[in-house]
Amino acid sequence: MSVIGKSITRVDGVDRVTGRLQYAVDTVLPRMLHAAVVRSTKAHARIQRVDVSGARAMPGVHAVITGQDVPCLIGGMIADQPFLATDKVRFVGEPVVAVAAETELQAQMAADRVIVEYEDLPAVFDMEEALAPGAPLVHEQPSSYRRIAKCQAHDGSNLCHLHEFTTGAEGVERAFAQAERVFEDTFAVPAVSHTAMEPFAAVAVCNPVSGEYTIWAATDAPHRRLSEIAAALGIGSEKIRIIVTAMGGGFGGRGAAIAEMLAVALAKFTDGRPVKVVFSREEVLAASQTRVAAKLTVRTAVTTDGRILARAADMLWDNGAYTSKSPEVAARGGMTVVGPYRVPNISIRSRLVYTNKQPSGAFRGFGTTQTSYACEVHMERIAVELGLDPLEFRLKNGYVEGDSHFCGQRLTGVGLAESLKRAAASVGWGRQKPVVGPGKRYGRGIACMIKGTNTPTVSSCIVRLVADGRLHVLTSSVEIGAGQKTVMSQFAAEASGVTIESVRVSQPDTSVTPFDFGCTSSRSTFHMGNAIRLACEDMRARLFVTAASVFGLPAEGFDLTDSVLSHASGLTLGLREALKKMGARGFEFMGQGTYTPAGSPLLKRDPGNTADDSIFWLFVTHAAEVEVDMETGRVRVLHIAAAHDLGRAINPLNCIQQIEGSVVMGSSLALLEELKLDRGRVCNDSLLDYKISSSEDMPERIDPIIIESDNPEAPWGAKGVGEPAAAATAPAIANAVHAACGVWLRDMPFTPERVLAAIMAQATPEKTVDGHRSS
Amino acid sequence: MQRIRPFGYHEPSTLREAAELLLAYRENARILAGGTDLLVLMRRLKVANAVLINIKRIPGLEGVTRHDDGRVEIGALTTVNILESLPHPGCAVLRAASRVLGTRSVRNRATIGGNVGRASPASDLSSPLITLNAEACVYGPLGERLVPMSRLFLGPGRPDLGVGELITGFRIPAQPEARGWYLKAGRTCGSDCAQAGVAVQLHLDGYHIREARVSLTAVGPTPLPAPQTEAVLRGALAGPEVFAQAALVAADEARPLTDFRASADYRRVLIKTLTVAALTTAYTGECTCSHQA
Amino acid sequence: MLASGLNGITLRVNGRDHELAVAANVTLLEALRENLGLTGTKEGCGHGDCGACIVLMDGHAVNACLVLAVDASGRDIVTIEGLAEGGQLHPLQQAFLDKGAVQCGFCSSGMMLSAKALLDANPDADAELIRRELSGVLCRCGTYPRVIEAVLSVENGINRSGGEG
Repeated sequence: MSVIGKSITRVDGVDRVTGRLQYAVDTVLPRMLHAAVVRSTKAHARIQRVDVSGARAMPGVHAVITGQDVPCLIGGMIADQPFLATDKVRFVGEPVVAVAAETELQAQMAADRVIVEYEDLPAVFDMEEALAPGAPLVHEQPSSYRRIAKCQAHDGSNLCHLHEFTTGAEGVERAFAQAERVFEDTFAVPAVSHTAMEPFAAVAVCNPVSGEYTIWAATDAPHRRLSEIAAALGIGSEKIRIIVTAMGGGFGGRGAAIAEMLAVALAKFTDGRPVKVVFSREEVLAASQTRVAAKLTVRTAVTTDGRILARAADMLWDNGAYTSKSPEVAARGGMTVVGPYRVPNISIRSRLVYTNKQPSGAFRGFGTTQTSYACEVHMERIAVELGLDPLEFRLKNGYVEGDSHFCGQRLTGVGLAESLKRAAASVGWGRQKPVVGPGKRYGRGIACMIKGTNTPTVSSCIVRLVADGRLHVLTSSVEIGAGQKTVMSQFAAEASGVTIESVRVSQPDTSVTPFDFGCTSSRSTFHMGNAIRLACEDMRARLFVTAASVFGLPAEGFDLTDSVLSHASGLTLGLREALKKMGARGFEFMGQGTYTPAGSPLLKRDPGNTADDSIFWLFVTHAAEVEVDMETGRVRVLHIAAAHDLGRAINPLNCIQQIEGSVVMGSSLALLEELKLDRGRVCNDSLLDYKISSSEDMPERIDPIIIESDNPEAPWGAKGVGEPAAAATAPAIANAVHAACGVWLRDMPFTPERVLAAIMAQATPEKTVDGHRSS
Repeated sequence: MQRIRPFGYHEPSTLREAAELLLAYRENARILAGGTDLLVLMRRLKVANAVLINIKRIPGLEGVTRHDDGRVEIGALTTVNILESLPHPGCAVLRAASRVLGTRSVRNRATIGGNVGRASPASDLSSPLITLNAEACVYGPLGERLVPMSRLFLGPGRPDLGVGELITGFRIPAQPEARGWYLKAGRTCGSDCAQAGVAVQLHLDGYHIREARVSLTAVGPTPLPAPQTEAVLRGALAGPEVFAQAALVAADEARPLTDFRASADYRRVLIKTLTVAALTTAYTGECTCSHQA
Repeated sequence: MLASGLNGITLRVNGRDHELAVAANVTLLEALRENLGLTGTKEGCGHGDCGACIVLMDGHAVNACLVLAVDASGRDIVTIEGLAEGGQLHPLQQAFLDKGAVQCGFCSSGMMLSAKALLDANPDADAELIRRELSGVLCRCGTYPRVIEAVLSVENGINRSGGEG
């Protein structure tokens, strides 16, 4: 019986509902010490003096270390972040001193006694100010940092990374010069926190004899974290082992060695005793990583009948003080500002800027929660001002099967039009507006988006069919909470022919489970799915060869389905029984599979094109119905229809969880979330003041709509679902607000206060500062 | 995770012992009631060197008593969830406020004494108690005294209590023919500290407002009585016109500040909207659903 | 009375009494997780804002991070580890699995115990009441629609028997 397309209950579900799952924060090891961190109270300052003598004298203290003790720089793209600040601090919350003690309380009480004296330096918080000539430099000499080739250093400037792309400058210029209409808008998107419910936590132990580290961590890509930490420590990767624990959500936030870095720093100084680091909620909100704040200016040349001729975008991305994955967000993520549209002329400039703020990094959607908002509100305004139906305008320009992406790749499996039509239908697009209460206005809005996956990347997998008939899947695919283990089990059962109850999916452990690029970029289902398929085929081939010799039958006729071994000749045997006959005790059938899309015919593109291609593309449309309170500016989201082209739903319930969850997160980002800073200090560093959606704040009705499309390389047709999800909600809501009351929302989040200000500004146009509009 | 640093701790079994401890530890002494606010402040290191005086072993500080003449007495340790279903007919304003204070699990622990005694301008229960003409019962070294709620607050975090004094409960006079309501606005539909709140209590004579009490939350240094707003309502014929007029005066009477939770201007907007809505709900009858502006 | 040092307390957790000696600054949450090893109760913020640490105390949902262990002495505590009985999942646990109300699971214990307190007091809670009463438990995976469906299904008896879904 096929398990593909079935809503199989979470394979680790019973542990999840009984409280038995061990998260990083639950890790307990013998002789384990606990850490506390002294953090910078200054946004930019030279460290004058660090006095740790008071801390060292406190009871229970084993180690108190400063930046001098760990002169290491970490960063997967640009290694510019010290484990602990050395000569100067660059953001409020930067780790300066770390303490390890017998208990967490003792460590914190010792940390309370550390004295750090600073000499203030001028700080930069605003991206434009940071780029102005003569601005204080966050980093004096970026070129001194270890970095990957595509990240060029810009000494003497706060420009961290520059990414430019054009289909041809001349063509772009000509299109804008000759266009019947040109539109321009500027949008601001704030830094937000991933706010996974489990705070960052890690345990590290260093073997004082061999110098080897073992790290227990909730990380989304253990093999990549391992390389980053090894490079930072300047030791071989064979000296590090990462064991992944269960994790309480990720959303991109577990894509850097945030707690791991501190645990590793201390572990060298505790005589082989393990050290546990657990962030407080304040530290998570103010001193880890954020979504990249961005300021996006988008220009579009169109014909009056709504054909897009050119798109230019100039984007500033706020890196914060240190570099995680933001160069890639600004570059690859930034390209999605074009949207899922056929645009012949494109010019994009993305600049990532150093500021004296908390570092930024990957966030669910990898740039698309910023770019899709800008693109889609801008598109809506073009449609409205041209007098076109926004849905028709999108359908007219949107990608269809076989279109050429601007990277030159021919698009396969394009569910965009269907997603637009079905989401629109679900909110009653084009129908008369329902009557709402006095002082309220009703509106419908729609927004779509495109997202690729990081390509090419690699996933490997080993399967072991053991004597009792169980199939062990050794994979580094991380169960981040989205049901990865369940989907991998479904793939393994389907591909191997054992029942799903016989499948066991391992926890990632870099010394045991093979390489995987990570649980990022909506890639696990597609890539690891393929690796599992290949590994199971490999295993089956070996099984059938042995079966052929044991049972004296030709190998070709064998089959394994539902844990029953059969042969065309009529042989039928339960798998366990068959295995007993096939080998000595301890005999196993293994298979291995490595998948990479590199070289896939689906990636063929125009010669000379430098833009990123993708082994699959995801298309999403969200449509919103809102009610705006004209007196208070409060936006009530009545309904979101969320149509997701995900290829094929391997586990429909899991897909619905992802879609509904993304709508909840998307509307939370749209309406509530923003890290508020005062001279670089986060004011709202608690969940009382950093608001995320509760059950009372989510849209009153959410309709998840699964759109299927064909991608020939997708395992059982599945592309992905987790990431693009939250990106289309905000622009759909913004566009619905416009439909309701005529104001354009160019700054997120759409707080009642901000919406009311827009309504008031519209009512008194002479006061409007309308620098945004050029048309 | 941040740990609560060690503190001095006492569990007095009588009010007299509690008062002696308050006298002994002065500014470091902190009354521990529900703890939903105090323990957060201590964990966030905003309160240091505290000596906690846990008054939960003192008998008689918990519960609601209704007298035959309509007076109601509420012990300081009465938890907010109890107040949500307060049976007293004239106390809708307190019921409404209790339902929007924090989350379910916080309401199960937070106490009326703690919410009022903390003297936060954003206290959800203080404004309703002011509109009910309630008095705080205060015990101290010199004996017991009653302080009208409208005069209990000197400033943010500063209740008008002498050294050694603590709040033991509240007395609410009978509220014949009175209708009230409380509304607040927060940043979310879920629980939040108020950006602004309005408590109203209308004493009706048929369609006429014989007496009106209005108090505003989170728009001044203390929970704010609104005498000018009350003057507009007093003697008027209840209805949308006078409610709208009162709302304008209330917005004017508010003394809000700007912080990262809301601007002063926006808080005034909220006061205006909330005042109309609270007056309307109070007049037309209790509503269990809509607790938001 | 007890100015410093350790306080002897009795915690009745999931029907079993535990004698503990704790300092006054130890919270119920720390006592459960560290003294008793019951790590199913999670700490997400320490401020009573997220609800991950919700347990039942005398049948009421409380944030264990906001209760001093000394104040929980003699009270009846139920944690997620005490929900399943006799090797059978509680109907809520089964419903959470069947309806997909669990994703990363970090909020799940707080969510299920809040739901239990709600249903014990109000067996016919409608969707709106469930939405309101559970709003003290934050779920970043955004599983709220599934949670509401799961709680409603228990009310309707679909999962009363703890059967398969």
